[in-house]
Amino acid sequence: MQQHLGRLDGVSKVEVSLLTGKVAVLPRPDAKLDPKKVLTATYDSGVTVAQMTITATGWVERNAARQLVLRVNGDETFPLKLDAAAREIEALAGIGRTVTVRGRLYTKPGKESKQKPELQPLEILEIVRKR
Amino acid sequence: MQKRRLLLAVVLIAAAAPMLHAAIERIDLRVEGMT
Repeated sequence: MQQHLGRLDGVSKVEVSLLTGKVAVLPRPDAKLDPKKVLTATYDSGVTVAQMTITATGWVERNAARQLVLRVNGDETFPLKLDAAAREIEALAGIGRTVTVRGRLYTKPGKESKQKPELQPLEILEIVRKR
Repeated sequence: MQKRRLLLAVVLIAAAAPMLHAAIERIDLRVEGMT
């Protein structure tokens, strides 16, 4: 798995703890990390992904469908799960201020599934800082 | 002319500054079945 993930574009370091089952993927400076590719590469390495979280800085915006999204790398946006935490940063939409959040992008479905895992709406777990 | 170019460069850099900070800082996974 470490090799699978290490080969992805933009990955600088992969830290794996066999004891806890935790894996951290760190980007190269000024490189783009693609969570979808990380999720797929992890699945392809033969393990089951129970959960994936990201820590990211970006802008809160509304997309064409008026959905609240976090824009991170110009063309990369993550729809936000509408809950209390999302409502807390909703006021930042469209005013050009950045926010750093830690959020969940994937949780393993309850039932066993043979399908490749797909990203889910970003559930904000922590608002690290607003600028 | 040179002054205007310098001013334009300063404005462009200032506009791009917040973009430089927008990024995914890390991805954390919890996996099962790792050997």
